[in-house]
Amino acid sequence: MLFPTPQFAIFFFAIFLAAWALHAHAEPRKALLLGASYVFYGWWDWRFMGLLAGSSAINYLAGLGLASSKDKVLRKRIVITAVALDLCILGVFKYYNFFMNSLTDVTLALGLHRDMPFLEIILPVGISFFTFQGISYVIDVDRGHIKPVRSPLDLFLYISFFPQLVAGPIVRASHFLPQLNKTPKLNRTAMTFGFLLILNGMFKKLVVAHYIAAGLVDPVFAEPARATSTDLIAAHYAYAVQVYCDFSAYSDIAIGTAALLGFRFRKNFDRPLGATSLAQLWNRWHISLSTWLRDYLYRALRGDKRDHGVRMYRNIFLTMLLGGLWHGANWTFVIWGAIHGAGLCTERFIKTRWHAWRTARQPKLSTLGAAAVGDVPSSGGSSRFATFMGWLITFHLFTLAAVFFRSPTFGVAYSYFETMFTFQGGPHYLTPFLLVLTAGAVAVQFLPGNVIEKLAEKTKTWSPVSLGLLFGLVLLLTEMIGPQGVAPFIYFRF
Amino acid sequence: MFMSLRHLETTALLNRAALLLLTLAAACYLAAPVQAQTTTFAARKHAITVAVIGDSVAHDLGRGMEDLFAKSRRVRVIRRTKFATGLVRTDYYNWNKVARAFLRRHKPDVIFIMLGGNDHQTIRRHGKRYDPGTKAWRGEYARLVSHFMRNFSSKHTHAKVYWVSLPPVRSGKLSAAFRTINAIDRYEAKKHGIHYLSIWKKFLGGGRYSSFGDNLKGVKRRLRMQDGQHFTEDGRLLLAHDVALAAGLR
Amino acid sequence: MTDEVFLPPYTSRARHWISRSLEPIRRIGRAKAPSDAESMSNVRGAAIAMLIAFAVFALFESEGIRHFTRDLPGNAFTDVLVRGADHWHALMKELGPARVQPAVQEAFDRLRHIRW
Repeated sequence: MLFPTPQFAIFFFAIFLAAWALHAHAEPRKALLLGASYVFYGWWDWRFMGLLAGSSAINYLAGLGLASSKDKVLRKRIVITAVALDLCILGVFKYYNFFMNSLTDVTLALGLHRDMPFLEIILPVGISFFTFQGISYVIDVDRGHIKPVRSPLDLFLYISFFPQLVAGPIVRASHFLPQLNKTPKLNRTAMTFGFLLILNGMFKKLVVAHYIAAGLVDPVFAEPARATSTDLIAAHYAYAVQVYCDFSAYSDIAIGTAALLGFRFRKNFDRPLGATSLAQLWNRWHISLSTWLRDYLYRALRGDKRDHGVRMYRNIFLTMLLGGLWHGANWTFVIWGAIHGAGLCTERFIKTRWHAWRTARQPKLSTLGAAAVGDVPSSGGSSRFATFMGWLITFHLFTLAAVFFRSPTFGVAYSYFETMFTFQGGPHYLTPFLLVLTAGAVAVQFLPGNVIEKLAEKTKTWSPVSLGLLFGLVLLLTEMIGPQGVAPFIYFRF
Repeated sequence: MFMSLRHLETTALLNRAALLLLTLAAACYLAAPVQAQTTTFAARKHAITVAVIGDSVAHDLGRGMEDLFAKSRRVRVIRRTKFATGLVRTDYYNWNKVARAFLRRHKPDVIFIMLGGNDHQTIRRHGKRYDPGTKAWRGEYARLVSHFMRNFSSKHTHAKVYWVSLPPVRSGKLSAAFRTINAIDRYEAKKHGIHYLSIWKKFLGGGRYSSFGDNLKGVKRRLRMQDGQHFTEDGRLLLAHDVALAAGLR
Repeated sequence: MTDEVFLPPYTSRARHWISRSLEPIRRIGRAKAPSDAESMSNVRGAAIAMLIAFAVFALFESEGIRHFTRDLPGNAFTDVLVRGADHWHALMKELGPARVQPAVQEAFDRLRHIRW
């Protein structure tokens, strides 16, 4: 079931009424939300429901196993088994055919062409998201960050809760589970905040992402060799904006609908296109994924020791490389991850050296102890210039790397850059409207991060009728100027 | 005895030769239209405008054509495709209007039409409901197809018009529905003088649907998307190549 | 294994370990928890707001309702819905609201198609 459809509107309204009718009865309410989540998921393909339940069962049993054992070796075995099973599911469904395809390439390159045993596997939507949630639960239990869950209802609902099920945010058990057993409350700010987030998400998806994609990105990427440089330059910025609007739209609607049901999810995007460094970008882009990668992948690579030197750079690079592969079973995603990994390492190296040089020149600074590695104290105009340059470099690295993210093959990406840097030809697909849309989406990244929260505070005193009119009319306008029919969200395939 | 054996051998040889000749003649007969068209298009000096019309599968065909003729100065490809559309839901998208306007604006030399992938649904007309799978539905759908095909008569276009069949899909139920739609399209195309190109068998692996198969280079690759309906880049190229070959564009 | 282990709330021993970037939305987090009666009154308010939004859609997007009913599988019940949606759309067209959407779309398309 897609968010911007009448089916979802009716479904959500029914669940909203039923869930609040049961607000004083925790277990029936949980059962209702669980049932609704499976219906929501099964809408794509009912067979997926078995996989979702199976994945939840593995992690639930692992949690029980960890609760009943204090033996370190046994606990380690349980964690390894559960994580391996989770990754197996992901590997088979998402990466098996990619692996076979890559093997075909290898055999062709070696002149030993063999037909590989491809399997007729359907990639279930959101598999990467619910697998990651399951893994985080098992590891958190093992690390003692959360107590294991006994109620299967709680754990199954945590993994399948419909607002975030298919495209995130990747909710942590430590944040979600405590909310399940409290009597839900809906305050006025949360209510208006939920409505405003849904409106924001709908506008970003139906208007900004759609028109940018249909009018500029899709035609240009379909045949980059035939496009003009102007269009190619514009489209590579536009694609970064499209991915941001598309994906953050899903997160916004997910957080908004969850808020209306009385759940609080954390922010998943915080104006990432305004980031002034790559490290900042990854603290603002798909926050729930980047922190997941940090806490479960980077930490696993790092081990218990503090990381430094070449080892640290290797681990950062590997984390981003695998993060790239998570986005899709294609080498173009690996390259995208490698670019970001290399960028992060370079940035960190330069900043560390710069900081060391500064502290050597100004010994007083280090005694103040304010500067952590990477946070170079600075002031005045040079700081503003450095910030601007930081943004410029970060933004362009992100948009240029996005060409690999969008291109189906290296050939397309190569052809894209080759034609783009000829600097020939005026705008053909790029219209003033698309330029304003793209530039506007970047410009709003520099607004304060809590605009919607502030707006929610201001509108919380509005009567339900006024709020309904605002919600209905803005949604209607978005719908009217939006396309007929809705394209699936980009992150559905991840 | 010896003579009669020789006679028998000669007769068998003659039979075989006759069979071979017949097979050759049949092959020539079957290949003849393609040959003729190849000559027609290849002999043309000015660029050929190829139009691809239809739904999202036609979009795949169009993309494949664009890739196939990317470096060609002889063939220019125009796509007029709209996702999630068909002939049944005129309330949502009216292909008759769109086709007429398209033909007025562009003057294509070759037209490929691929429609019907979204048409396995209830038809509602004048307060009556026709459920898919029924005889009444087939009759009503044939009427819709016929009505649409009339837009491509010689009165409206001088282009060579090809109707490309729907491919098999992963869902067995939908594949069966597509067979029905293909049969209707084939029959109606014949009635309206439109060339019908079947791609059904080309995308079967071992007699049934398969997402994988040999690409243009003969390497086994994924030809169909995860949804079990649309085509990957390799699939698009293969589809476009076959269709272009049958239409004599290559 | 004791029952205590499983009892909610599932408090975390490493509450501060999670990144600061994942702080909950502060304003909502800081807001005073409403009483049960206040909360349910807000729920009613939200339901009314949603109903009003549905009504706005029903008025101005009658064509969308028509499409939606036709997307449903054909049976006696959906026949009624389709007929109802057709009548409703005809009425909205006559009264005016259904004419807003094409006008807005047209104006928007003009804006979209402005060339350099």
